[in-house]
Amino acid sequence: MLFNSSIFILFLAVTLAAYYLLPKKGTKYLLLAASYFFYGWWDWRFLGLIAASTVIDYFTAIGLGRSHFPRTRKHLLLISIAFNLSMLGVFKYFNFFADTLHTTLASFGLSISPAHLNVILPVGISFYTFQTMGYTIDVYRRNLQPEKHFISFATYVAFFPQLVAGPIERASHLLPQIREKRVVDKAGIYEGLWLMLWGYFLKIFMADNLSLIVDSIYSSSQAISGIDLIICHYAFAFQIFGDFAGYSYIAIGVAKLFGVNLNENFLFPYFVKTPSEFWRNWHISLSSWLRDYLYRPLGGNRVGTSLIYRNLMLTMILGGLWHGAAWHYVLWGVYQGLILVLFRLIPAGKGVSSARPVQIIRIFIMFNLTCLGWMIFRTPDLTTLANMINESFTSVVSHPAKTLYWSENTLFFIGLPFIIHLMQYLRKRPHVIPADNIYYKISICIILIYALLMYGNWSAKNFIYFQF
Amino acid sequence: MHFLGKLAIIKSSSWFLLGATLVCAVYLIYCLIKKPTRGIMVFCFTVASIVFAEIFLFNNVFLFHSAIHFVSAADIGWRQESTLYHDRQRLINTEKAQFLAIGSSQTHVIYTPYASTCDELAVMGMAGMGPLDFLLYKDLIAEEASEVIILTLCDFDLGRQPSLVAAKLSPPQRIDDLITLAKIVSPIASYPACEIQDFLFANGISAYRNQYLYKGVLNKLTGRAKAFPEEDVTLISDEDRQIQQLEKLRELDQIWFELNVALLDRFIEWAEREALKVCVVSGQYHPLAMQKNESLHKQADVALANLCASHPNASFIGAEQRLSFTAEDYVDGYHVGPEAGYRFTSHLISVVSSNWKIESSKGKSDL
Repeated sequence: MLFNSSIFILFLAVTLAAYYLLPKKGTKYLLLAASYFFYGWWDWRFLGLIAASTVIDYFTAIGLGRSHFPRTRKHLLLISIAFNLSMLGVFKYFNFFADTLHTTLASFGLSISPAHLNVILPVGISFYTFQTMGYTIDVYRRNLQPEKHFISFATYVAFFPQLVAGPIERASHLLPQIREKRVVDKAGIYEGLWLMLWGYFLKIFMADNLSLIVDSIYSSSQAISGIDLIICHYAFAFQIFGDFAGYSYIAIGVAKLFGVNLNENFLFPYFVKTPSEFWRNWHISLSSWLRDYLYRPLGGNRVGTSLIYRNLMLTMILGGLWHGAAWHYVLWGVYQGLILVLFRLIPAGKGVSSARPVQIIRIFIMFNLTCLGWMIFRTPDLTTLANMINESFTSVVSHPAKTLYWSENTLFFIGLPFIIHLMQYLRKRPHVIPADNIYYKISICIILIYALLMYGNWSAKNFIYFQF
Repeated sequence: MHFLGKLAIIKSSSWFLLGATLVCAVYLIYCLIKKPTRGIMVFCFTVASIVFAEIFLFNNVFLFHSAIHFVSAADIGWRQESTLYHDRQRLINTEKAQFLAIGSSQTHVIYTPYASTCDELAVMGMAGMGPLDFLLYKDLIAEEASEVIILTLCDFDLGRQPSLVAAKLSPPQRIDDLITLAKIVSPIASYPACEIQDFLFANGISAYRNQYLYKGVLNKLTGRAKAFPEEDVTLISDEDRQIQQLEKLRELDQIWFELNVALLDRFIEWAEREALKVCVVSGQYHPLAMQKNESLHKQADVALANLCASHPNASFIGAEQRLSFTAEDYVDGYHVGPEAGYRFTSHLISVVSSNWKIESSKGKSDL
């Protein structure tokens, strides 16, 4: 069920009505049933995977809480991690590694028949497996008490607003809200509705319209000039932001209508000056997960310089691989790791003037470095990437009308969201309508609604991060 | 400046808009009696802003008048261009014509040359317009027709599944009309959920329905017509296009006759209630394709003749009563040239007038 489909709006309306009408005790059960219905609407057969992950992690965590033997506890943790990673391995990575092995052996003259699993990737598997793994690791570390109430735990795993594309919630943050009675107040409802509107606007007005431009440039039969490539990758930078941040805002907004506060997932990621700052503001729930459960266990910053670089590279490469089973995601991870290392080698912030123009230039440089990364991320394979870069240096603008059309449309679909986003940034408040006066607030909402209706791309396109 | 004759808002069929206007009027009265609270002021500001946006963007005759001169079919599409024209017509004072010819682009090319010389005939010809659209556009038809509605139909119109994609551009429908339509259509035809959703959404929200115009204006402003993926017609020769069109005409299927006849039946019933006569003329298309579809063509004529026989306000004009086009009359697979259209229409009007004993008003406008 896509957030940008009418069936979701109907589902949400019915679920909310039932939620507000039911006695408080029953709401937890309702949320669980609604979450399973939401996921099962896409493909009910994969409900078994969520249920299995829930049962395994519930019982291993109970075991971890009760056991005092380090060896037993380690075994229990391994069971949980092995189960979740094997799910990811089978459904997401098996064919990728099998193909890679086949190609590698073939390059040495060895031929094996390629083994392929005929399976589809279950939506959101990378999100909920990471969420449940985080929970068992926290219980193992004794940072968290195991949840005894099964329904609460099952709801935590399957909570529908964030089930298929995050934010990846920490148990310490979400579980207590599900366990306790949730309060839905007027301010929460207003905030939730605004976040939903803002999320839909980013997705339907900005991302889905920019996707038409990006896709038409990628599928263009003519050679791509340097200018086209620049337009394409600025457009894609805003498309992916609108798509993913849009999803996150809708998820956070919907959760607020149920009295649940989800974690922030985006905090003005294109207004940053360094790569580390970028990762503290982009897909925050994943980067903080990787920091806490991968980077720090590897030694984090507490080791020698060369080991820090190794940890950074390893974390970013695995982060890249998390996004998808393809070499361009790995390369994107390598690129992100390299710029993190590079910014550590050249401490860009030190001794630099704090004057506003200098800061703006730093933001602009970082934004362009990010766009370069998105080029690796978006290109379907490395050969296409190499061809596009080659073409961009050798081709001149061969179809100026198209170039003009792409550039002006990109500016149009970025313009209004950028103004609102900039107003939010200057106020440092991402969750509210960027105005003090109630009449301005209403005016902003009306402008967004009409722009959404008049110019939105309403063909219910999938969210990019669903494939991860 | 006769298009300013009626207030745009009065002609709007948006119940929401009328409701919002009433709320504002009540608020003004309330303000006169008692000092309003902040909550009421905020509510009324919201309603007033929406009303303003609706009038400014969607119920404003200046907008449609300017848009007609700014965008063309190349920017927004053929059906959309006709919609734009009729959206403007809804907001201005128009004289009712004695005869109104309704139908697809074929109707448009046949009847327009004659209609442009007099006031007795008006034409509502839109790309792909068929029996479903007749019902969807009935309010507009009632505004433009005073006596006789001419429908030129054949297997070309009856042998296709009515399209919901184009139907989303139709004027807003009342809920009871939508239920009636669903009852007629659903037992026979099925549509993808996204098309139904799109149609209903456009029907309820004018901003969504008018996307075609705003996106067209944006595309024009950004220097590129046909912004969204379309077939590049310049790559195909006229001859090839005609062959393609003739091939398409062979895809017509009798299974859709039942649904289209049921829709026409409903339309003629409605016309009867409105005291309008319906004249169904046996349609035609390129003789090369008609020869291949001869049996289907005859079946369509029989179905239409039977339908007209069951309604006192309807009559059928068969192939023997109207003029037949030759292959030379056609400029492509579907459309005839203006001279052939004029010849056909002037003959037909005299036949219809004598059949219904109507006194032609041709030439009145010249006096």
